[in-house]
Amino acid sequence: MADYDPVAMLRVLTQHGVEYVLVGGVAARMRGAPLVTRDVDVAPAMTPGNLDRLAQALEALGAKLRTATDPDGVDMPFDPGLLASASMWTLVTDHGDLDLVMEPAGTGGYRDLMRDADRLKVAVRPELAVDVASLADVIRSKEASGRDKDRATLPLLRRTLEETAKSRSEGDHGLQ
Amino acid sequence: MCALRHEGAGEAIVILLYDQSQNCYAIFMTGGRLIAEARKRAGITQAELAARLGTHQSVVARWETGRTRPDFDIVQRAVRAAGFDLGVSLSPADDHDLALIRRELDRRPHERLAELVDTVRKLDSMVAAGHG
Repeated sequence: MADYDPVAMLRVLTQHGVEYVLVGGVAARMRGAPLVTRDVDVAPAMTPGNLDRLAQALEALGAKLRTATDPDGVDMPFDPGLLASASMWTLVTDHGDLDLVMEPAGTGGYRDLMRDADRLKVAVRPELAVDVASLADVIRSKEASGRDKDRATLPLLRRTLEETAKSRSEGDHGLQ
Repeated sequence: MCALRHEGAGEAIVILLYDQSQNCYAIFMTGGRLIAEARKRAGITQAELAARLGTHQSVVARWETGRTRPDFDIVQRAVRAAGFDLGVSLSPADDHDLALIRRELDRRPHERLAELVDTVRKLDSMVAAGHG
């Protein structure tokens, strides 16, 4: 099993100039939801140039296709055309599992999610900040996905959203 | 004082334990692992546990290795046969969730991520130790 290190994973994407927004469970945790999840989900911009940079980043990450029968991954020749051909890629990398979600359910993808995303610090030394989807958008996506696993987290996410709103009304909170 | 939350995680149940300092300890637990844990604590063999349950050692071995998944009644009976009671209780999740949410909101995003990474790594270590 690869050593779980989402910061290292995100750092490689950023160093390659990939435009992406963090979504899913890790985004929800960064927004304050006390979820325990190992899913690192990112929604990349779908421009040809960005997919080219993404393909290079995936090579640097040692990314392979993750399948139920082969959890160590299957080699895939990732290139912009291949990446654009699927709505989701489940990958295993040198730093853990990475899911590329081209258009998260219930959203219009990167451009749509970026409207309410914030750039949040994920590491201090060396500093790294990435775009993280709003909690409302994470909820919207999980509501639309219809998966039991996603539905199960919704009460906690909604409660977190309520508490975030309350704490913001008492003073700016939670964003850095 | 501990609170338990069960979250579906494929075949396993993730049990999160929180102590009074709100430190989180998490373990992947299946019915089979619970039976194995009770049996080992009782210091008895699979064959001895099987005899107490009126079944064969290979059945207990299949539960413990996850090749077959015992249902809840069987887990309760097996744990009791090993000399323990399986205490299960329902508690209101909301208040506990609220405390956890407020604790998270008092942290900065990178601190939240760091704690998540720490928890997942502990889980991975526990799973690896369980398979070792």
